Amino acid sequence: MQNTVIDAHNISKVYDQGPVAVKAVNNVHLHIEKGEFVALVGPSGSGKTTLLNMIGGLDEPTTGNVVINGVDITKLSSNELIDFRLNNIGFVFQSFNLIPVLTARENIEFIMLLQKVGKEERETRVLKLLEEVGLTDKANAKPGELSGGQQQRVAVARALASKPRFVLADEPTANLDSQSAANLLDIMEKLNREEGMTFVFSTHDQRVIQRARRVITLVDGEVAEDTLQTPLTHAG
Amino acid sequence: MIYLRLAWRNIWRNTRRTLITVASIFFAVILATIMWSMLEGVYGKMIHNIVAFSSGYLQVHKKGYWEEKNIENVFTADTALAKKLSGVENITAVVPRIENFALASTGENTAGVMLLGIDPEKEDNITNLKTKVKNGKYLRSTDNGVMIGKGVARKLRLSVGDTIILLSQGYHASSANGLYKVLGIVSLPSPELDKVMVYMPLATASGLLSLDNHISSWAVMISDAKKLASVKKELLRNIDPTAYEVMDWKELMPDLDQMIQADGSGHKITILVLYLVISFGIFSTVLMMMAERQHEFGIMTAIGMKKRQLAFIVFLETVFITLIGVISGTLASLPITFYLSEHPIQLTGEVRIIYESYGFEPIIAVSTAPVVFFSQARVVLLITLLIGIYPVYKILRMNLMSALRS
Ligand SMILES: Nc1ncnc2c1ncn2[C@@H]1O[C@H](COP(=O)(O)OP(=O)(O)OP(=O)(O)O)[C@@H](O)[C@H]1O
Ligand SMILES: [Mg+2]
Repeated sequence: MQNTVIDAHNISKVYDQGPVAVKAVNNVHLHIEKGEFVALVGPSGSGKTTLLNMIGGLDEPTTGNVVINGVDITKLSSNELIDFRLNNIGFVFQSFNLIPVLTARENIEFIMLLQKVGKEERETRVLKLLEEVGLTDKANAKPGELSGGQQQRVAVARALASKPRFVLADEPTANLDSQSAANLLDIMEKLNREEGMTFVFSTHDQRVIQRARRVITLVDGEVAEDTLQTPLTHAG
Repeated sequence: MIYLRLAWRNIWRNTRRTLITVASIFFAVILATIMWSMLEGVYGKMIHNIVAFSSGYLQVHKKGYWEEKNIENVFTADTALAKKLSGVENITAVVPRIENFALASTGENTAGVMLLGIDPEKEDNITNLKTKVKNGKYLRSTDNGVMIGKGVARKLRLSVGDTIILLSQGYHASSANGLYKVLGIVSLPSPELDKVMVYMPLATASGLLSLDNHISSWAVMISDAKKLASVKKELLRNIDPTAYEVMDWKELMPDLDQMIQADGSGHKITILVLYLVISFGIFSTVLMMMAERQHEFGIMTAIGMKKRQLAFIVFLETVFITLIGVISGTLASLPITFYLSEHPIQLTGEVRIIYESYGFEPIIAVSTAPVVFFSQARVVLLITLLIGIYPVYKILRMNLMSALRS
């Protein structure tokens, strides 16, 4: 099981603050190997975000364990968890991912500063990542000066900057036009293909789903379907 | 470094809000500093005026003198010791005085007076007593005559050249009486003093009271009223505390001290209110900023920033905003304060008359002592640090999921 990056055992999340307890995620088993390119799909409210947050160590499962690279993250203290996320998991959120006062370059560099990476390595890595996401010319632009698609590309570059084991992206294309969405997927796919980076992303978008190699469908917090498919590569 | 950069840029995200906050601190610091410098200035001058004329900032007596102001409680004027004491840092003068109650009489009228034996030159150096002479002339140390307060002159119907009979109790129960010529009449700032003071050269007083080389006190003048406590300590180190007592003006004139405390507290409350107002200004800025950035804080924590790192940045932001306000406010208050100290506001109306009747310059004195500026800047900084605790606390307690969802 050396290649296992995510191993979720029987995880559930129950919200019981309201009048009725909501089982947002119900007894989910999830096993993801290095190099996978996974789409998490399902109707609104089916538990995609909740599941991603739990395997990303952002939210705690009510029951069950999440084992990442052999570490049961549900056992970590909140400070240990922050360090664990910093060094093992890349995050791309739906929007407002970036620190607004930092430029694209600084946003990418920021995470390496947190990791205390040396200046030289930081700089070469930032340049490489900017190139990979096609934003070399926008290095010194602040998020407010970038389009939504460009911001998401910077977010992907930042997610990769820490050399994580995998990247979690919750609806990364939800706020993008189809061209930008396709473009973002191209970049993620290329990073997956060339560097073997594992991606798990949730989406509603049929065109995005088609690009995945594995599609996990959630319904009412449970895995209804888990299929492999031949991804459609982007034509453009 | 990245913390500083982030904090600095963050405060300029909402330029207008930051500028308004900075401006409120700026004006509050200016106002508070000027008010404080006036407080310090007015009271400093008042203390100096009163203290110099009466007790001196500090007095050295024979131990027990203050309890029982008896002519027996005098001490030998050891010139070597006096010289040593004048050498203490911040001491500008050590002036010998002989003090005793006496009855003054003209034959027709009699009045109780305060007999003060002085070294005329030294006394003038510290009190400018010479300038208070209204009629006649100022004492010389060899004169065998007296100089009396205007009030004494009025009461006893005396004028320059008249003779006065002084009756008192001398050292070791010797009888003390003599005839003295009135050489000068002084107009003293304080009506209370004006009605009772009879000045005499030290040697003359000593002769009258058979004091030999004994005196009642050394009045000590200091260059900086703020150094009172340290000078007192230093004095105590230089004398034999079993033989002498050292008292400062607050002990010598507790009424004056209380009056100043009471009057000053009103102004201090005004300044306090000013500070409260800006505290709420800063606090509301901090609140708004916190509310707007929840999601961002969530993202930063999600990607791997520790809460204490985040809290530090936000704390720095409060510090930056305040520092800009405090530094610019202090800098701006400098020229204003120095101007007011060079061109003081002239008092008018009733207050002017009161000031003049006491012989004070009718101005609002302003202190430009560095402590004025530092104390205000320090208070504002302290407030900010307190306010800065709030975002730190909120961030440390932040719930990641609700931050991310907002
Ligand atoms: N903090 C919460 N408190 C209570 N219920 C919650 C909370 N967060 C999510 N839920 C509930 O949990 C269920 C799953 O929500 P979740 O956000 O994971 O769905 P999702 O699949 O991501 O939906 P969408 O596609 O709309 O983003 C929903 O029924 C939702 O109402
Ligand atoms: Mg969701």
